[in-house]
Amino acid sequence: MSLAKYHDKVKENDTVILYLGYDNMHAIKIKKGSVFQTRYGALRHNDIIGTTYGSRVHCPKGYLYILYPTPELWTSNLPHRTQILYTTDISVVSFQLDLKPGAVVVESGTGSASLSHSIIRSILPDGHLYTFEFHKERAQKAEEEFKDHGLSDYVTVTHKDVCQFGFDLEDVADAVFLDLPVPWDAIPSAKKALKKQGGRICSFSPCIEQVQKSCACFAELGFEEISTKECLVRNFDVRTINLPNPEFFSRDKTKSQPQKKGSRFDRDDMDAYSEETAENSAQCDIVESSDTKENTTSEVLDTPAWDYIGRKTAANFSFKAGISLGRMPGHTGYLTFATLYPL
Amino acid sequence: MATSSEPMCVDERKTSNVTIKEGDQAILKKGKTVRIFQIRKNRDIWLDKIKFSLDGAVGHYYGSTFVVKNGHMHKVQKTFKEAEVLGPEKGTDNRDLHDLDSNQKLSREDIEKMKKEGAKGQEIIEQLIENSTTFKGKTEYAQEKWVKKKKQKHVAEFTVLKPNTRLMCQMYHEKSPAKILNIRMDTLAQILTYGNVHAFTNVAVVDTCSGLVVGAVLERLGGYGKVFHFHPGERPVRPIVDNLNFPQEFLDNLYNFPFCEINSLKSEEGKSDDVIDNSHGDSVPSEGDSLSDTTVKQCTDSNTETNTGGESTESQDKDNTDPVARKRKAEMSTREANKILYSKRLSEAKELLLKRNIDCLIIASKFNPTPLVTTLIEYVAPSRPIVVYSQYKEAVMDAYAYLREIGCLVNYRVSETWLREYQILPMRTHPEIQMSAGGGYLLTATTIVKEQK
Repeated sequence: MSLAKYHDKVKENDTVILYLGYDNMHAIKIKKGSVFQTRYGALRHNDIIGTTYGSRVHCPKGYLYILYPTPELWTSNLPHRTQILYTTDISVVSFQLDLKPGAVVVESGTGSASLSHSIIRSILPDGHLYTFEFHKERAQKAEEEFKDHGLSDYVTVTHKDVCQFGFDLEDVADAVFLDLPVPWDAIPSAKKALKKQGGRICSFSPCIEQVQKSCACFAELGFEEISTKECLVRNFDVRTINLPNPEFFSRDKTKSQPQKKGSRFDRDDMDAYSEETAENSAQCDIVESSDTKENTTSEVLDTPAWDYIGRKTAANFSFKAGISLGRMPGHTGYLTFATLYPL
Repeated sequence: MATSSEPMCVDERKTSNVTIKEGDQAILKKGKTVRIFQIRKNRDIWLDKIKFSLDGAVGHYYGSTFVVKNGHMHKVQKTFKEAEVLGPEKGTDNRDLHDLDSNQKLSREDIEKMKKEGAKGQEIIEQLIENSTTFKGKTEYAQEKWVKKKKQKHVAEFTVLKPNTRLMCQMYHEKSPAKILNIRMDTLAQILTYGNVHAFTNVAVVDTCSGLVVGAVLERLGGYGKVFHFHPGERPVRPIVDNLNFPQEFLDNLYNFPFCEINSLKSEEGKSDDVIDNSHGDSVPSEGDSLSDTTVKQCTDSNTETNTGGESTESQDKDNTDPVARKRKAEMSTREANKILYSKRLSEAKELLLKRNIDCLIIASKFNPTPLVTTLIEYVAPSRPIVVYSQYKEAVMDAYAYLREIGCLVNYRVSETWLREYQILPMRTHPEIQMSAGGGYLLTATTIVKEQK
């Protein structure tokens, strides 16, 4: 099996992604006879072998989908040995380092190999990744994973502390990526590893003090176009919102009041949301709830063209919105990029 | 596990790409000014009010820095650093500094004279410092900032860079963002990554952003895998793909697919490909493709432009003699040949699409994405990513709603990314004063095997 090239059917020893629903996925390695317990019951590996990727597979209490492991799906589901880089940052790094087939990349530290998988995907078949990790077990685990995923040809894992001993590479790399606590200790050796015709470098650091020292080091060593960025992702939940129109009169208490369905009108003003349309399980086929229980007329009002943004009745204004509730990632790390030009 | 490694064998084909050659598209970068030119000998260009020829660049590495002297480019070592021209004298704050034109004793004419006499950039700056009454009173930081500004203005040094997706995206985003539908670099980065665009994948792209996305995809494919460019009109408009200077092998894998052929594709199921109605083969060589002199490297599909600038002036010859008639006849047979080629490529594209094994569908266009994605999704293999870009969240949400109704996807995500840049200097570190207000919105999802109902 290979992350390098898509193939159609699940084979033994493949790593597959089980998709159970929104925010509910697992990566498993297929082994004949094995069983994986899910919230929908037992999933027998034998039942998956031979199926087409993308198929629905039934379990006693429900179903799930078998997805092909792209590096993105792997990043979301891999076993963490360290804090990892997520796809948002990985995308920017890949783009800013000009990764493409044939590129030679040097990386340290390998960590949980989240970024490593992405890099390899982008530079194969004629590129190569030299990745360095100072923790022995993590280096071994990474090597095993690359082998499992059919990527060994494109990567060399080295167990080494590059801050102490350097990369021991010269004039080979198109790009270098550093995710180290003390990157300036490795930058001189990184410069040497870059090709004489020039290349790109990136240092990822969570703390601004590290960034300051790294930038000073880049400048001192003759790197140019030193630039520090951060990239944050904001996800949206797509829902139909119903905002009730307020009543500017008081209801006559002797008349019987129509019962208002649902609790949404009684909730806090802040929470005037209808049933959400977010996909929260694979079983949920409801697209959206536009079933509002108006208590006066439900006729759509004849509104002028400039007023069109949703549906208006006497009681409600409803529209589709992309909502960001609660929290979002506020910081992952600073990405500092620089170019080394030829002399 | 390796404990040390040997350097990779460097592929000759790849090293040859790093020196500046005649005919190349090259980016000239001077500070913030970034312009793209084609390297042609004995032809002057203008950059930042200076006129010069590009001959001096040929043969040097990309990334080299040059200075202009007497209309010619000369390679120089790296430019001097601000710190090198600062003296020991500095002030503590600006309480006594007044901003007056008379602070600088050198006039504009003086400076121009120095430049004409061939004074080096560093010398000019040093003279400006000498003749400034306020310089020594500035703080060290203010001095650095001042020198940096003067360098930008008076030192005519620039770097020659090989165009790539990153630089083209940057250039267009700064200068004409509307032409690339405001796609910011981090958004484009997400598109490529979430689309799992890599060697050996077949990618269908709807692109009306000057070819930025098609170009980016071609770059990530590295010649392995096919790209289907869906576009409005008869011919695609993608100047960025031209600027990126891909080798012919890459372009041979790029198929054009006009929107007007989509319906015939849908009705094509199982039909023979021999006779495909091609009422649009009448493509007159148009200037739609930029830089008509890049006839050598054209996408096979766009290879209808055989007339260069030179020929068109000849045809203005008033003499109605045989040569002219012969030329007209030659032009017509070229048009015929192009019609046949166009038709052949189109049916090839249809045949490939009908295999329904597209590995990635990307929509990045000014059109309503919903009909595009709901129509083209059936040609995508199961368990493959799709990415829909729009400048407008509403359009992305609409596509999301329709796709959910169809039920052929899982793992939906509607998102945007924020990008913030920082100024990193000792004791002067802070986010940049201005930042991008928006880079567009994405819908990403994964296809599944459509259940037979």
